[in-house]
Amino acid sequence: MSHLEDRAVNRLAIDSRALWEGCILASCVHGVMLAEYPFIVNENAWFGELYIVRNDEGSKAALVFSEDMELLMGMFDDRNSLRSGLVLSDRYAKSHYKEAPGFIRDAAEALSILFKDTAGQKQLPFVTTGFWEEEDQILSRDSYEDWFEHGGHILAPQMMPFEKAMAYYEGKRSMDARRMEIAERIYRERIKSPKESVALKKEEIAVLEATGPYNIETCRDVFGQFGVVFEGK
Amino acid sequence: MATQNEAKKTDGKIEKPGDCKTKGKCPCDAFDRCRKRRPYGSDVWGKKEKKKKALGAIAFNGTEGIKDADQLKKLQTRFMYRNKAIIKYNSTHEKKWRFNKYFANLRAAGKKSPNVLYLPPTSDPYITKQMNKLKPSLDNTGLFTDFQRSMVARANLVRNGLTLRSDTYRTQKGEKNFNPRNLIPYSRDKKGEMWSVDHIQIRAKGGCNRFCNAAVLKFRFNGMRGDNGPSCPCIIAEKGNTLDLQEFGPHPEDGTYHLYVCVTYTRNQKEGEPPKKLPGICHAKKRCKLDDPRKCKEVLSQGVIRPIYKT
Repeated sequence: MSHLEDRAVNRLAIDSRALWEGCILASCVHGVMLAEYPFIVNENAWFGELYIVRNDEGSKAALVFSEDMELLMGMFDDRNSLRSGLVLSDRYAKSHYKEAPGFIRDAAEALSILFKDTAGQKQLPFVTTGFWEEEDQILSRDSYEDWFEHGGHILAPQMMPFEKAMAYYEGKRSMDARRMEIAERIYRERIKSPKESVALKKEEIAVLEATGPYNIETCRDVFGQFGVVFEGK
Repeated sequence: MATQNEAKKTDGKIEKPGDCKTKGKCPCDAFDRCRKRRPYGSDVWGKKEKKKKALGAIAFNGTEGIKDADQLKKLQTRFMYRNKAIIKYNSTHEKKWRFNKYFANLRAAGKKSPNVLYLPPTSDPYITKQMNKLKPSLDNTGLFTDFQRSMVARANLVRNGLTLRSDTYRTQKGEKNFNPRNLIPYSRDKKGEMWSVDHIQIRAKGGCNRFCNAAVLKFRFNGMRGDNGPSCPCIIAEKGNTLDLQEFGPHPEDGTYHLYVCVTYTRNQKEGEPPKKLPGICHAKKRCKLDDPRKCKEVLSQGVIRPIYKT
């Protein structure tokens, strides 16, 4: 692959580790509120190192991390993007990674399966922007502003500093003090030892269970996706 | 003024619409209607019997309401059993079921294994507490909070006999109208058929996240509306600034729309200055008094008679 300067790419000022931590915080918040608000179930998910977030408006972002929590790639489907009239084609989905190394392009093609949408009789990827990691930098064919406008904003809460993010979630996720404490504790432990399991204590489980007893099993599954287990189970 | 999309197409030069040239009362009655709509669910939350139902545990499987705890428990046991069986099968067989233990339950409505939306019981004091906490989250362009979405879903379920059903859209001429449809609680593969809480007055044109601006709409239709809907021609979410546009409020940090207001052709203002008040655009610091769906009598006494689902 040629030098970065020779290619039509932009460096995005994204702190890989901070974003991973933001995704973990979003997941902790999601997990503690799920029993009460089960309809948020699809809005946050981990499949190994793949993180997927969906917002209220049907927009979606997928981030791929390495085992060391380094950001490898991001793909975005922004339903309110002005590009939404252009995006339903394989060619357009690929175009966001045109300047990336071959293995990234292959990975992007695989990831785009998650972004398929119906177009007549066909299923085609709906991708409005993307980025990838190369030489310890996050690169995109879009400028930071364009990336943010056409999908990056889906990750705005995940990119907020901890205090601001918690204030945001307190409102958006309608959190109470106790569940904010639980989410913060799990988050702190999870980012301190990313490769270790973190346990939700019995009394914490009881708090969540009291808010939605029939949804606690789903909660357990969701926490399990990012290494948080239920104590005693 | 052009819509957000049109603004982009004209490379940032905003075309001035004819109706913006007239000094006087704002022509965008879409905003007036905001004041005439009841907060979502006031027809349920404001009636004693219905409110009791809405406060209770509600379970809905995509086809019908589940009314007793035994039935709910039976369903839950069946789901867990099914999940365990598939996990066990996959661990011993080369050919795996396409299965995710999380989504396995979430099937489309009407199928053999229905997906269940279970809303736990809640209480009046808890709702009051949440209503009081809402204030900082209420804003033009704001997203509905999870508490608001649960209030909307509960009201919709109770109103429709424990079935989620989208609200009727009979809006202005030239806009998209939608008829009521049955909706499913949630699904990975059939997202378009799911329920969503829609902003009647669109966020891109300053629509707020108060209950009076909420309606239940099929996810797919919500997406179809996009940034097109009832709106004032004088306010717009647009990147950058032009001669005719000035910032309306601070830039939101959560990535939501940043509003700009036309300073040349809005009414009752000096040319070059933004208007002090735009009809129907909520004041950032004043919560609407009509916004608690439980206060039906208060709403009615102020002449707000139209429930949203009959819009």
